[in-house]
Amino acid sequence: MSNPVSHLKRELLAAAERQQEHTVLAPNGRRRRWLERSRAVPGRRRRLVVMLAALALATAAATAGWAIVREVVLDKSFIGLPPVEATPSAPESGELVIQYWANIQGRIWVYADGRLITLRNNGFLEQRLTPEGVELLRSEIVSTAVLAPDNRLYGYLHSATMPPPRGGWPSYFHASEHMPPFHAPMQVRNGDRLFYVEHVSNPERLAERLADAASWLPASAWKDRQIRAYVASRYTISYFAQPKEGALPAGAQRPQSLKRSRILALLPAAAADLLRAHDAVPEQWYTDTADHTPLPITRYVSDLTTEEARALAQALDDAGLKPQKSANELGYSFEIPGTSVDRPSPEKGRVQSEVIIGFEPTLPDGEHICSGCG
Amino acid sequence: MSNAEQRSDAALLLGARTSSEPFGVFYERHFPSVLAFFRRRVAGPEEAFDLTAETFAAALASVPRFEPGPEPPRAWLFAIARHKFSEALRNSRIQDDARRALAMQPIQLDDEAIDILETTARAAAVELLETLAPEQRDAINAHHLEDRGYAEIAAELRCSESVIRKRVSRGLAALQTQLRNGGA
Repeated sequence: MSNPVSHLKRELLAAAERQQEHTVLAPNGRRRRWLERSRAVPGRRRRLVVMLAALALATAAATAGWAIVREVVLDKSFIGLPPVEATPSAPESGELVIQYWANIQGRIWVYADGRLITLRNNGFLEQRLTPEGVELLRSEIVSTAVLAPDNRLYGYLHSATMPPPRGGWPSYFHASEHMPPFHAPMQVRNGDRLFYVEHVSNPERLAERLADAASWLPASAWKDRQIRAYVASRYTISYFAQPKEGALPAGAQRPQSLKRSRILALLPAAAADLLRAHDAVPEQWYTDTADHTPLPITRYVSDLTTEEARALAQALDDAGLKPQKSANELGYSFEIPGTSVDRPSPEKGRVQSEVIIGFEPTLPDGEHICSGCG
Repeated sequence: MSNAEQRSDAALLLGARTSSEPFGVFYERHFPSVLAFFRRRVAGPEEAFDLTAETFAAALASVPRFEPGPEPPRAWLFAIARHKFSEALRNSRIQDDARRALAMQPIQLDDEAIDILETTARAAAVELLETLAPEQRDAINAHHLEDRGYAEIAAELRCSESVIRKRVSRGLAALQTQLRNGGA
């Protein structure tokens, strides 16, 4: 094998010589002038150009497919919206088989079509498993797990780093000491249902195996081990108003949620029009007090195509809002001038509030997550 | 050193209209940085090489139209490279239009060839580091390549830790600026 750098040089020089022999085909100034002159005498010369052009096309057609055409993908994750040229992950939707949220390797989703999607520190990544690979991973969990009969959430809690909030953990969350150190519950498909895992018989081993599946899955488990960015087809847009961080004192009561129509009225007109054209589902969200006690508020969630999400981001950019890419998510925020969504407190003055607009890629099973929460 | 090797990029591209040799010099001069440009953006050396080959083929095809302007020819070359990269992302494949139009033969890459490409791409990055002021280059070398702490470097150079931090951050900023402008 010759040096590829020299080899390419030889190819280019040979092509340069061929090109110089056929400069009549090159669309330079000289050729244009020549064509202009030739207009007056349609005939031999023009036919010659047409013939040579046809020959060039025929040569190109004859050599079509000779090159090693390689697929180009984004091999690095990104936060927020994908580059305009990026190809979305296909198919658009998929059936979830496994999901868990581990300490080190981040959140992981496995789909029946083989997609293994991970969320780490800088966005979502994708690899492809074979059906055998999906089954091996699923069996690894199911063979050691007790599935929650009541389908409630179970998870190991780090008491040192995750002290329970005032009033305890939400009722749906049950601490189990027999789970790997996952921050959030694990789900696995068994038959036609997704189950939460109540506990596993050997948490350390499972954590180790899942943390580095690539080290034990056989080559036949991988359809494509190449790590590439997960490019979503749709984005979940959430918007809500909340007291600014630290503005709610310790012991504060549940703040008042701002209604959707009021939030839309505060947004730049183009952004509001875009969101108004889409259904919005109200869902419970949380805001923090100064002592980090979560208090429920309402946020509104809309499903947009990536192009619509891009138009929304553009409208917010055009209005002078600065995109914030932190903790894995793209968001915009602005302070509500001179107003308070919370009840004014005569003693402490108004609580400053802000509007938040978040952009999250929608996963193949339609799930939208808080990627900045982990 | 041949006469062509001493000529400016613009002179080489103008000379390439009538002779193949100047384009060869232009290619050798810029191949490492174009390869490094793509290597930072795509997953593997094969893809980076294909994109580099397609960029130079497109540049060669454009030689008859090249007119020297206020922008250096290097910027013209990297504009082609950026266009090729966008095109590849948009189509999810590396186009081979320019190479096909020039009837260029395919180049198969074996492990040895890939090693050569990887070394060439890395060398371009090292070359870029060499363009920094010596104190910034040394600070980046010590902190990022030798993995030494700021305090240790500061003690050795008998200056404050904040001075080392500034050198590293300013050096990295200078590298980023060069990379944005199509440097190695």
